[in-house]
Amino acid sequence: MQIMNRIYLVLLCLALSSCGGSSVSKPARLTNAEIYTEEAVNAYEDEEWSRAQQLFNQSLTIYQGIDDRTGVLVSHINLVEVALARHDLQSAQKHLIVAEDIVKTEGIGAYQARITLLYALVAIQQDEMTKGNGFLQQLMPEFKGGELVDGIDAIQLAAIASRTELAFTQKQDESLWVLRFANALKKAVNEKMTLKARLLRFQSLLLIQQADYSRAEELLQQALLIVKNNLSRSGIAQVLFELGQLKAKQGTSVQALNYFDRSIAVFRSVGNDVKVNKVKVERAKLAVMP
Amino acid sequence: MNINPDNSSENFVHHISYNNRERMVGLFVFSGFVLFLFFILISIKNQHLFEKREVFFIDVNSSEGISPGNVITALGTEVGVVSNLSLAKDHKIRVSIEVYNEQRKFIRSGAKARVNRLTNIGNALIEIQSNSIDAPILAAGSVIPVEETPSLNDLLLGLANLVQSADNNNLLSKFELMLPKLEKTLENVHEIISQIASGHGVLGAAIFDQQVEKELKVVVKSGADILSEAEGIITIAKQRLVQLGPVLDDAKYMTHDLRGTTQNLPEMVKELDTIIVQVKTALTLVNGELNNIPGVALDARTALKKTNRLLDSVQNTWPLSKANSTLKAKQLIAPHANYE
Repeated sequence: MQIMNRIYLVLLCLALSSCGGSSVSKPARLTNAEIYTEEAVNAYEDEEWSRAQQLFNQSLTIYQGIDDRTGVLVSHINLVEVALARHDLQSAQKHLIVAEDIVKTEGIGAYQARITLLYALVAIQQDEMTKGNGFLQQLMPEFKGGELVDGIDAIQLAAIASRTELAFTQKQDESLWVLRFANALKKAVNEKMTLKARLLRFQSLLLIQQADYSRAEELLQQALLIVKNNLSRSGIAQVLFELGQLKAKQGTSVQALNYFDRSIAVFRSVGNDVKVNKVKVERAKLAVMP
Repeated sequence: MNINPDNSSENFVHHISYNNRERMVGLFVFSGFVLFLFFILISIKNQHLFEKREVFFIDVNSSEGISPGNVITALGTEVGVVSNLSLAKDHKIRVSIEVYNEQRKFIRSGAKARVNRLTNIGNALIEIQSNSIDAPILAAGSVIPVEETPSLNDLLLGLANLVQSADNNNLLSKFELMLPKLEKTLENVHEIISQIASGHGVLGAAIFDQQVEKELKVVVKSGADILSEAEGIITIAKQRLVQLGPVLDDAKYMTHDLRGTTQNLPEMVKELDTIIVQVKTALTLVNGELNNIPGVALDARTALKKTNRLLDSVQNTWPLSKANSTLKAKQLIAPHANYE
């Protein structure tokens, strides 16, 4: 009887597994749109902004062609991210307005937090810090001093990282926000290594404020290791730039120039001319120093 | 029965007479009796009750489904019945078969008995198959070789043993251990396809994608056009060289014919202009095709992605993988902090 039961169990499993197979294939246009999007996300992760933008535009066209509203919304959000990475504020705002409109008209509330975060990032890039802070506050989780009360999601973590950056720009409560960011990162479900590198950079900035240069350099070297492991070119360039600035503060101009040159090379490879010019200015200041 | 009252002294026995009704009843009873006998005779005939029978034997491994009275068939006809079961040598069961004398002609030398236990649940069907109907009739008392099919119970027991042994040897868990390796192999196949994509992407795409195939055809066609034009250019250039050959070989001849050559010079320059125009056209065509190459490459990648998707589908089909991956995972860029 027991043996028979096992046979029936095996037969039942076979029947269920055959039921599980999906024999319905997706329409070709939808598959193409998804493939374009996937390619575009890969290009974005490789920091190939123009290629990412081109591919996202193609997937957007396909989604518009089949009136896939969620697909259109996702494409617009992705295009905002790419535009922000390229510092193309005009394009970012254009896509963001359309995305917000879709969220409102279609009632897709799940994307509202993402839209708010993007509005904050646009405002920060426009140097409208107060406005950016206002948007970020809408996303902030509850804190008890430096500690988080509940768990957080990826959008909130990104908001806290941005808010910490804002604190350094405004020179207000930097250590508190660094502490909050550190605690938030600990509580995050998927701890992103690039954000960890960013935390190390914030901590090194605090140490530089306290003139603890050796500890600050240690943290920056750790951050450099992380961004190199992740092949985040913007991250590598930024850490090299900060190491150059640190070396300049320490008065070791040869090392500082070396870091600046390396930073320029990496920023050039990403195509971030604004940053290249900024590093060049710093380099020039060092070069004229006796 | 009617008795005449007027002749009361006469013996009434000798004066019995029947009316029509009584005769009809008698006829009916008699015909009923005849019919009854007729049916009995048919039954006797059908059941071969008084028919002479010859005994044959078959030795089977199991008596499952075989019992006295089981019908024996040959060429679809009932030829006998199982009469007895007894133990034989080699732990076999000897089945005695009584074959009706009239049907004995169906059993020839070289005949084989086939015991089929899968047709009827509980009862085996014994069929005797003769190789040739021209062979002599098999002698009575012969042992007929037998072929047995396993019973349904045997099959289920075998399956159960299989499951049991698989269970005992942790075969399923071993299979599960093997799955990651299989998945890894499929990943390697993906890698190989990626390599093909980087090396021979257009070819790969041409295999998988009709759109790319069309574009490739355009490229090849244009390439053929370019080659034919280039051939024309080379032919003309060859002609020029042929024309120049004697000039270079014989300077004297050249000097003498300098006037003639200079006369041909404007024509040559004109032809050279044509050549330049043709080369320019060819280059424009090549340039156009080069412009198309990124699109072709992208389509090739798309085709390879589709292949990749197909492999993923295979990988996700039970029992190769327990979990199905979702394509939507990479559709939205992960939230990013402030861009520096």
